[in-house]
Amino acid sequence: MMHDLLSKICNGHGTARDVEMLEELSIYVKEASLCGLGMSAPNPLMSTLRYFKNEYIEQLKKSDAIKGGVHG
Amino acid sequence: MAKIPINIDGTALEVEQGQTILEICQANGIEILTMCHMKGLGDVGACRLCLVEIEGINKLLPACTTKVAANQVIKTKTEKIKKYQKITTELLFAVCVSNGKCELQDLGYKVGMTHVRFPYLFPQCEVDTSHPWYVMDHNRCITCTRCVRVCSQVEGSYNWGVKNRGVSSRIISDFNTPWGESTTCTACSKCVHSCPTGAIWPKAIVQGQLTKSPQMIADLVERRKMNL
Repeated sequence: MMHDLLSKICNGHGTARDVEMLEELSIYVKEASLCGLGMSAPNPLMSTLRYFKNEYIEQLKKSDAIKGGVHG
Repeated sequence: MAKIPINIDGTALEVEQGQTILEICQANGIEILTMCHMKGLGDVGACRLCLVEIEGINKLLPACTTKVAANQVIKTKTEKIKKYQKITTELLFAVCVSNGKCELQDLGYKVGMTHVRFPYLFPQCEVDTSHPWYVMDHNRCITCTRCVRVCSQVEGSYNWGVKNRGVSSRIISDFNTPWGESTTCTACSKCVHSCPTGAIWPKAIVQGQLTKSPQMIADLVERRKMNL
């Protein structure tokens, strides 16, 4: 599901809500999972959200331009 | 057994050692949401609904499998837990047809769910109708493994098992063969009664008419302990 959301954003169909949901889900998976894999699996994604937030915002702007500024 | 002091949601309690947090909460009228837990069966901590916060431990722990320790300060109703319970329930949801009699549906109402924000996965699962009396619909299964546990721990016939991992986990009969061909199934219907959704149901039932008695399993386990 998180991979789907990320692909959606990368492909230029993303909205601000998708980024929000991605953030919410990664924190949830990290904290609520049973095994060590689940606890660390969202780490790379969370790093990109922490250090490259600008690129997400840029990509969203591009998506908006394609869609004519209409928020999905 | 030695009594130890603990604190749950600001209430100081004296409890016996060796109990789980869930057992203590249920005995003291503190509500904890559960899904894979079933009275009479061993716990596995799979559904992550009973997660609680314990002071000094930086991760959330499931109440059903965590034993109490002296001087623990446990919180069961923080905003964070409520939020996570809602996400967990939303992620479990499929379209459930044992409408009105589904434990999952009840849970949705309890956590205040209005809709599912996450896209449905719609896995194309098979429906096993090979058994003469019962049907197993994998599309409605949330893999809580209650049927697996009731079959091994109570009935002792070890018909049900789990194959694969993660999203591709499925419940299997014997060696992944049709249920009707099972050599171990005793057709006792305990899995039917333990199933919280409409994944396992008797054939002679109209949709929405399904009534289950999960309490029966716990009563049975208690009666066996009496050694009559």
